[in-house]
Amino acid sequence: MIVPTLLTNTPQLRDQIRQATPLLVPDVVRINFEVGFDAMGFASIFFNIVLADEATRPARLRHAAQRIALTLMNHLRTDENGVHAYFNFRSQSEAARIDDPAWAEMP
Amino acid sequence: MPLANDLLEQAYHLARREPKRPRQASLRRAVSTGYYALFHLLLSQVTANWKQTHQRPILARYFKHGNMFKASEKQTSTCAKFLAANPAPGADTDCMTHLQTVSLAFYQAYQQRETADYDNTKTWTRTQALAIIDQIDAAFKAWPHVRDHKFAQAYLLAFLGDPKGR
Repeated sequence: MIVPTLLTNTPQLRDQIRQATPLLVPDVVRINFEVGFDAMGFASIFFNIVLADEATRPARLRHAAQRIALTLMNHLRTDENGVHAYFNFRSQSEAARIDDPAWAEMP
Repeated sequence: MPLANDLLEQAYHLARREPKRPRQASLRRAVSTGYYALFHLLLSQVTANWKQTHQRPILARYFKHGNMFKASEKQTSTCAKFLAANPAPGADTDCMTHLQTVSLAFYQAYQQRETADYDNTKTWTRTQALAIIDQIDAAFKAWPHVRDHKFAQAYLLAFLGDPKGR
């Protein structure tokens, strides 16, 4: 199975995501990710994105979610890199309440 | 599209149940139901092109989830490339903007539905579920703006899959 270069260099990927994060404030608190394969067997990046509680209000969530997804896909050029991207969102309160390393603050 | 609209309403109902401590079953079913709302909306649109109205439900059975996912992933990518070139305002640009909302919602919801239905290692939160259903709702609102446009009709046609069966 061929894994796209984007997913094999995790430090570089992390840097690219870090560079994109300022474009997403104040909605985004932090962005974690995991790499793997999706249901169709494509190499994929699964984002776990913690949002400010304010950004999860009903009037704001839908716009925030789409804007964040498109910004990250464009910034990382996921399509050109042959990677599928998926986006999961939790509020800051939810992330604090649930002990889940995939969503925790990285050192 | 009464079935699709009812499913979307039901998805929201499930995602908003149990205000203090939502059950995993409610959130998972909410995500899955949201996906099927969009699936049936798009199927109703593609089969509406078939002249024999009584055959439309039968025709719908020929469409495969995987082909619709692939078409949606490709459409999302096509829209992104089109819009990245800063096209002049107009019908094509409007269509691509709305079509991006629709195809991205399907592309995301397909994978999320798989996780919601089969992956018990994942814990769901209300925000996770609502973010997906909101994207689907945005797709429902975007679709009427574009359904007769040639790009939207080409997207629907792509649900049939690769004509050479690849």
